[in-house]
Amino acid sequence: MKKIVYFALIVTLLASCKATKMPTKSVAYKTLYSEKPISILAMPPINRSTKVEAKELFYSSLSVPFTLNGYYVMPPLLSMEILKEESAYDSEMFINGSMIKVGELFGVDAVLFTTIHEWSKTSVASQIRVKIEYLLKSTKTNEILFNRVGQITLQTSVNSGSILVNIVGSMVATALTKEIVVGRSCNIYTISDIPAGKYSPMFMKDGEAKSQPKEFKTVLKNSY
Amino acid sequence: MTKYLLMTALGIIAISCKTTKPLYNWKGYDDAVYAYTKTGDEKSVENLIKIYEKLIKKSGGTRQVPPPGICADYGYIMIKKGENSKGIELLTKETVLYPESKQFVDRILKRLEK
Repeated sequence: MKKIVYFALIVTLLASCKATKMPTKSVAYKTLYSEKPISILAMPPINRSTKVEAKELFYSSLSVPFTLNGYYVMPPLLSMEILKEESAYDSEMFINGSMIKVGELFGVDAVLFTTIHEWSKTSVASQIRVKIEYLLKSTKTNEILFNRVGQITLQTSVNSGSILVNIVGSMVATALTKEIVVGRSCNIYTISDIPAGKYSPMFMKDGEAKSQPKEFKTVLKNSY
Repeated sequence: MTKYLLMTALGIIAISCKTTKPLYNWKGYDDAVYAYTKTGDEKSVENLIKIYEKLIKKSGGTRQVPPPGICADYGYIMIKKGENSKGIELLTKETVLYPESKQFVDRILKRLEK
């Protein structure tokens, strides 16, 4: 039995130490630390998936993970209304342009672009997969402050081999197996790497923590 | 033996998760706003309002204030319903809680005055 316990311990340690070779957050997110953005305007997601309604349904779930990390995100329903009025619904047209005008119009420090690369549910393989890219750009300097890609696959019958991932997986599965739930998990996982914002007690104190790789990929298991 | 294994697993999880309380309470928001965006029907609006009320009154989280954007979006829904004075009150509350929102919200308020 002891052997099994040790084995479980080692596996967990290995899993949690995977990122030892990664640079610290103060290196990986250098511009973010120097600019210290507080307010973020989320642009309507750019949808490259085949799921048409993904864009609007996903939009309002974006602010939660940023606020939990200490940032202020402009009210999503109100922002969407104004962005539509200003004919800024198609973020594709703005992503490569200057952010300075947007900053002046909305009074924000940064603009968030999200690209939904994949958003699918296949009943044959009984899996849901979302792949989302997050790009945060400064309205002061146009610099990229945060750029991460998250890919989450929810499978109903395969074991991921990691206790932690399995537990989160079963939470997701019991909630309801909708793509949106997987999308939300992708937000929480991927955005959790962002250095803490002004409203967090960790603000400017997490620079020595290791950053995560740019592409984040995981398979969750529906384990009940 | 299973018991020990389970205990070890739970112990490790407890250590690695650090059990920090979140900054805000967002309970019920995701599903309510999802339903509102998807259907926009009377029932989803009423439910969303109920959640907004709850998040404002029972703020929870370590900061003990309503999460960012909640008061402003609630105000927007109220204005859409024709309840302008309550809407304006909520929008103003957002700017008090979060001064970062002032420029944006003031633009909306100015428009309402016209």
